[in-house]
Amino acid sequence: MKVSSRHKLHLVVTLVTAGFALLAFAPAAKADGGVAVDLSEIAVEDHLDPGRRYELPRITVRNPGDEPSSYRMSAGGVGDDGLLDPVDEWFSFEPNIFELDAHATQAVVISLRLPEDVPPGDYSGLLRAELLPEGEGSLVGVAAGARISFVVTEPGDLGAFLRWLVSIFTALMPWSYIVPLVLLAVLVSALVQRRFRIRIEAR
Amino acid sequence: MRNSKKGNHLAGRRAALLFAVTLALVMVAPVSAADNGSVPGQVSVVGGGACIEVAGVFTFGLQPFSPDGAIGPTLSSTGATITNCDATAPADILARGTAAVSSTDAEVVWDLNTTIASDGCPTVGTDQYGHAVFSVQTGLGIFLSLVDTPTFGDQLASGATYDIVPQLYMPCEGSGGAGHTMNFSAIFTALQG
Repeated sequence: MKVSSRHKLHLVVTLVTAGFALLAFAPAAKADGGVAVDLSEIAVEDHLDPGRRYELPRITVRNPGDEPSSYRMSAGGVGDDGLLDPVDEWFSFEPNIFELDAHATQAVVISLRLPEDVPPGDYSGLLRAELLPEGEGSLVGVAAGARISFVVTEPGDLGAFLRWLVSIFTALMPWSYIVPLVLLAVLVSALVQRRFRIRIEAR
Repeated sequence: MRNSKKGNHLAGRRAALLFAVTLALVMVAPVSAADNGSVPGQVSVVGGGACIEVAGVFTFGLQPFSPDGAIGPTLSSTGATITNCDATAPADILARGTAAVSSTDAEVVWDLNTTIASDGCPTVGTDQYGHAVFSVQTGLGIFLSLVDTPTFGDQLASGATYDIVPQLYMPCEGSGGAGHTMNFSAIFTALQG
């Protein structure tokens, strides 16, 4: 049975008027592809402090398929009982969105910036490398994930203050050693000169 | 005697200068440390990450809104297959969904609702939709939420596949989006360990 274009138009107008939604005109959506990562878990054993930024181990993303594909990095919770969910906005990925040729890989730098008001406690979530499906309508996506876990301390904790001191000391090396040593040497020298008179002469 | 006093004064000035420099460095340090980021000292990393592939699409075609007292699932005319492409290890498969957003008007949004089938229309309200996925192999499935959730029971063995059958629950009559193509996703995440 042939349907004229006028009748087709009439049919569409009728359906729209009747309150139909047009969903997923396949095969407009292309979902074939894949994704792989080289880590399954990152467990941060040091306690982390609110308001600070941490660099995490890199994760390598691989395109296992035979076609070039686009990928996006993200993070989220897994709804583990008794554990807090990390928030995607706390993480930054470099690069965040990228393309990979068939079987190519991309190393991704991950950092975590905890807000000042982050609730203390045990966190458990996922870092995801997600295949970006193309097209419109009902899409099927896949992601390869790695678990991440960390503990956030109470603000004002003495341990947090000590870790802050150590991190400053580490960040400023070697000056964190040199400056206090020079300062100490000068102070000792000044004290010695004040109390003793040293005279060095060639004989 | 005068020379000794002069020497002491000079040493004192040097010490004061160095103290001031040290103080300045300490005051600058928190800003530098915060901006550059620091690597936590104790991090354990487990290698051997997950690998997942997908083939196929879901096709729901043209669907009416759900009338009061009669909400039912719409089946896709096509299915999708996911494969654990890791050569050695099984993987947990989690799934999550997204809100449905009109391809022509970003303000037309349907929120994902996991209780739409039990609540029904009009209880669930307008602009809510449901999206469920089932595995042909295990017969298990879930209503998708925005959070990654374990989905099909067993781990997916290395090289094995799940054939996925989706179900869609259309929003109640009176929702927005009539005549629009709505974009939404089901995302399957593979996880090792």
